[in-house]
Amino acid sequence: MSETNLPVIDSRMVVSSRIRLARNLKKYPFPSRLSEEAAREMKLELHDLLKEYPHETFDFLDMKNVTSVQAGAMTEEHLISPDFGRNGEKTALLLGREKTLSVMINEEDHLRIQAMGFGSCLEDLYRRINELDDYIDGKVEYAFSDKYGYLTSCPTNLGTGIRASVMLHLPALTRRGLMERVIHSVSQVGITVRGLYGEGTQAGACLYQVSNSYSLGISESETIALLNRIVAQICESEKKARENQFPDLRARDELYRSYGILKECRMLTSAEFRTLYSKVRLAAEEGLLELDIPALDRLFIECQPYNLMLTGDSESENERDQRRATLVRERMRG
Amino acid sequence: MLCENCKKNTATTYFKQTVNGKTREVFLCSECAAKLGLGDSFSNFGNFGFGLSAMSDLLGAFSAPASAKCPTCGITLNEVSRSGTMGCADCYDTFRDYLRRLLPRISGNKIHNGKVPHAAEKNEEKEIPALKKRLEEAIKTENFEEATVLRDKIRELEAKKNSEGGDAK
Repeated sequence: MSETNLPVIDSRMVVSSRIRLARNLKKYPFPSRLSEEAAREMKLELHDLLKEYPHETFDFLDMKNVTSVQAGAMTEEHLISPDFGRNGEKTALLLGREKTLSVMINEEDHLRIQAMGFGSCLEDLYRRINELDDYIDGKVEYAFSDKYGYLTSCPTNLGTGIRASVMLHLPALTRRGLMERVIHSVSQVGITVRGLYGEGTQAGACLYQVSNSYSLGISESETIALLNRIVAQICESEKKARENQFPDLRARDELYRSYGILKECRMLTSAEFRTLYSKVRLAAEEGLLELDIPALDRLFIECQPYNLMLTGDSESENERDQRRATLVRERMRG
Repeated sequence: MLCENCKKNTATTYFKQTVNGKTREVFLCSECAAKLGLGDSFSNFGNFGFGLSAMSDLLGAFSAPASAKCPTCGITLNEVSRSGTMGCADCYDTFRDYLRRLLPRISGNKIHNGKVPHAAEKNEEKEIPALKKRLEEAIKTENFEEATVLRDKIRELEAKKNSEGGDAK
């Protein structure tokens, strides 16, 4: 069913792609009704099972041994959900070596199998996640119904249990106040767009998560094709919104100044960094600055509060702002 | 008139709701009305899962009382509708009436289309008769949208069977 006219995605604006599958084991009640004892048993069972997986080596992180700073940092990396770390007795994370593949145990469902990658790579991620899912399926019995598909805690995840998402950088649509219209129009075709990092204000990073809204009655390949099509359309709108913007010296000047601040700052708050990141990324996407964009995206994660706490003892916000500035300066100067 | 819930006391409370041109009416005694959260005060409605109005939820789920419990995990319909989450795989059978009304609001009246786990794959032989049984049930309960989907699925499978060994999935 692979289309001949695959949508062309302007990959400059695509930050990362992500897929997760929601799965439950037939023999246990869902996590909210699962006793701590049964949850511990399940953690061990899945740990043993995934140790044997031939295509990836997983580190086993029992969340009861993970500090709140470590959990916060993993949340910023989108490896776990915010609540996952708070329920350590029941939860564990199996983390692949390159952090591409991971499995959350006892989040809202017994298994949340995830795959993540930079740029636009949904098909590749699905191939990898599907392979892992097949392997687990060969060892356990999943809760499944012919009518509803994979049975999940929340009925919004029924069907394939897939949630595919793409993170986009959309500064021009944001600046022109067009995002609300985009969000509304794609919601009509079963796609959800969510702003991350304080959208709606001028101080945002202009990052948006685009994902499928439901997974019942639509196959995995259809979901990915739909998402790719919508992502291509949104990127096209962003491109149009950027047209004729950069011959204007004032507009270019704003971006170069942002780069200047990042190279020379001595104090940098989280909010200011997000805004400057967006402007410098835009300059790189438009070819005004020669920058390694994936490295900039990695820096964005490293500069989040918990990730900064992870690499130093600076507890006060002032110290963190200072360390953020030092880190950014070093990277920007190469 | 007797209360439609306990079938013992005299009904004193009447609720009526029209959805898509279909009107549903419920007659309750004051005790059952209070138990179902339809008493004097509407303050205890809280936030029902998925932003459904409490009224349509209760009327929708009326064939199973709010205190209905899943025999496997013990969760009640009340808890399910409040949290929006199921307690175990068997809840999908226990609370099927609730789901029948809830799911169209999330994903339309659809049935699964996509990957099937190994354990379920082995049943493929039995799939057509099982679907036919569900089709009959859907027609009986006047769930015509689901019936249409099931009919198409049966046709698709029969065509596949006739053309012998089509591609998997």
